Amino acid sequence: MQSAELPTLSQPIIGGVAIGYFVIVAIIGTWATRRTRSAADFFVAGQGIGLFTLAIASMAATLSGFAFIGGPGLVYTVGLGAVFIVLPAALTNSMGAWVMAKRLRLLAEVREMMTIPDAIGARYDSRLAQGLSAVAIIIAVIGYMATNILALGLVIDAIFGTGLSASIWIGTVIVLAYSVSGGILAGIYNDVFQGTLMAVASAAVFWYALQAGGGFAGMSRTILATEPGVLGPWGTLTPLAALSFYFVFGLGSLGQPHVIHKFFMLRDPRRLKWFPLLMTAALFVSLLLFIGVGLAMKALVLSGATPALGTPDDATPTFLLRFTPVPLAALVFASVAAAIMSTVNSFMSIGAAAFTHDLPVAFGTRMANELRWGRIWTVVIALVAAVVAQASGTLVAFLGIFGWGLFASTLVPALAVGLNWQGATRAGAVWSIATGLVITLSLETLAYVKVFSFPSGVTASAIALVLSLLVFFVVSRFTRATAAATLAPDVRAVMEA
Amino acid sequence: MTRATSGAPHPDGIPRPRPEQRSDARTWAFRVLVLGIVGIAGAYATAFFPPSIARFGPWIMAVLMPVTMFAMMVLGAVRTGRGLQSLAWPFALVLTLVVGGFVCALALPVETVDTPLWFGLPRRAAVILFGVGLLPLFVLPLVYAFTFDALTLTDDDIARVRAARMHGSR
Repeated sequence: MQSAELPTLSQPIIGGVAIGYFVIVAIIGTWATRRTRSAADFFVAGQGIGLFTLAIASMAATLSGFAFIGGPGLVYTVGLGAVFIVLPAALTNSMGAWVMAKRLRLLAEVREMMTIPDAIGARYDSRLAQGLSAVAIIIAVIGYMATNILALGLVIDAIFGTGLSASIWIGTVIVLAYSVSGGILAGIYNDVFQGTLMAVASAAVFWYALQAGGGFAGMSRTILATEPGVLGPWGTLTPLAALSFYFVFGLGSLGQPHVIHKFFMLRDPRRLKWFPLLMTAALFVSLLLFIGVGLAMKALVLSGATPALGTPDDATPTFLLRFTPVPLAALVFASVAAAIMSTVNSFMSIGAAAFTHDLPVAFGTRMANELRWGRIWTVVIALVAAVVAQASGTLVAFLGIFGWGLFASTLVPALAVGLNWQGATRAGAVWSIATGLVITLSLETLAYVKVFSFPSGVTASAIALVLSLLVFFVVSRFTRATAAATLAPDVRAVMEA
Repeated sequence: MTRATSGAPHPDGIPRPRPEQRSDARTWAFRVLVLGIVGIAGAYATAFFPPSIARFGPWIMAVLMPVTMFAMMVLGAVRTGRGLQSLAWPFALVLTLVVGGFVCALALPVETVDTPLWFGLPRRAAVILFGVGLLPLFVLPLVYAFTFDALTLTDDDIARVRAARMHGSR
């Protein structure tokens, strides 16, 4: 995620397109608000969305601003090693469909499912497991949202020149306006608009990147002549570091609540049939920019066609301003805002649901009016994240780093494995979630304050994911006598379907 | 579409496949998953040792990481009472592509200025981008779609789950 200022983008066309984009978002938000009448509408879109909406919204929630700004910058810096972050997409959508989609959607047939911790609570008949997973989600959501809101502030500041601090608040208020009124319903339909915009913009920019760089062959020849390591399969990373990206972003994709909780929302479970294909196609097109711009800018800088970049995050803005028509550049900057806003909205929704629904359930109670409290907690979370986003860029970057890893280490064992293995036990789930939480937070914090550093290729996220899985297996093994007792008949039916 | 393997109702009232029909594929997938995670832990552990040992880490990861992810996929895809059936060959093909791609990238010589290009990229980069990233991209989604009605979710499955809801959570 970018934390440095972007080049100034204040041109009338870019500003006009950005305003037009925000107006469309507001119109969709207003429409969705009129249809939001219950907590189920607010948190799971009334379980009434179709396949196309599910696929595009999932893609939009998966990709944050990192795919458009930070990612190309990383390709520019470390070469093809950065591609290992997105390379698992060849497997993850199908893996998610087989492992998670059917089970989660069928769970919503037998129980009231509003959140991912709901699914964990149902699987293990455990309020503690549900509460612990909600705590993990809340911590990760605040960090993730802070980085995304900072990124949104940087984009708004670059387009309108309003200053970073004010831009952060402007961005927060815009997302909040439609999220608090229309909840996930507004978010989902905005995601469809935003996701379509991202895909179209990415495909167009990829074509311009190939033209500017002289095709893959032209870019390769230029880069190989000066920095051949960039085009090695691992870029300038070590092989273990690149493969570690693949592991954490591949297996970890099964534990991203802002994406997988959308499976609850699908109207008809039979529509899942074409979900992986549609999601993969949308993701593939939207990620073309990630690779194309990063490599093109490296070749263009090395050939002297453009000056060296101030920071890696300048790769996309500089390419757009120098090598694409202004209307396309404007569309892409709107897409960057779209990518960030769709992710932030999803986080707001799952964070508010954790406070409104999961924590009270963990303490054995329910809020009297979950819709009203959902809106209140949406505001509180957004304000906290915006305040955090005003802090130093280093701190915000630190908070953003562990979000993916925290989700992965706390949710993959208990949920992804647990929904497909009847030998999993309540104790295994609780201990694995606790392990993921403690290991991720402690290792990331110790690394942040520079108490120690890992060898190249080893990350706190990877260690936490591996350890939480091992703890899950071992504790479940030692408590296996209790496995059948924690599995309700209706949940067992879902797992055997 | 109906499923022929439905067993008699259990004491909780929900019909489910007979125990003797339970799939060994699921058991094997789980064992491979556990061993794969242990192996990946070992791969990370090598990084804390001198280079003579650390150099084995990427090789272990290159093989065990895709195997682990496929074990996870098999665990989700395999039906109680059935094996992998028509999913076996596509899974084997894609797993071979991914493991083969990673191993090739580790084994092939480092690129130089004169490295021949494959589809516009140096050989090892092309193997990773096109072999690991692009080729499998639409294989599994198409397999998922074309086997969905028979292997993933039938009308019988949905009816059985809805019957379970009517029987209550306990």
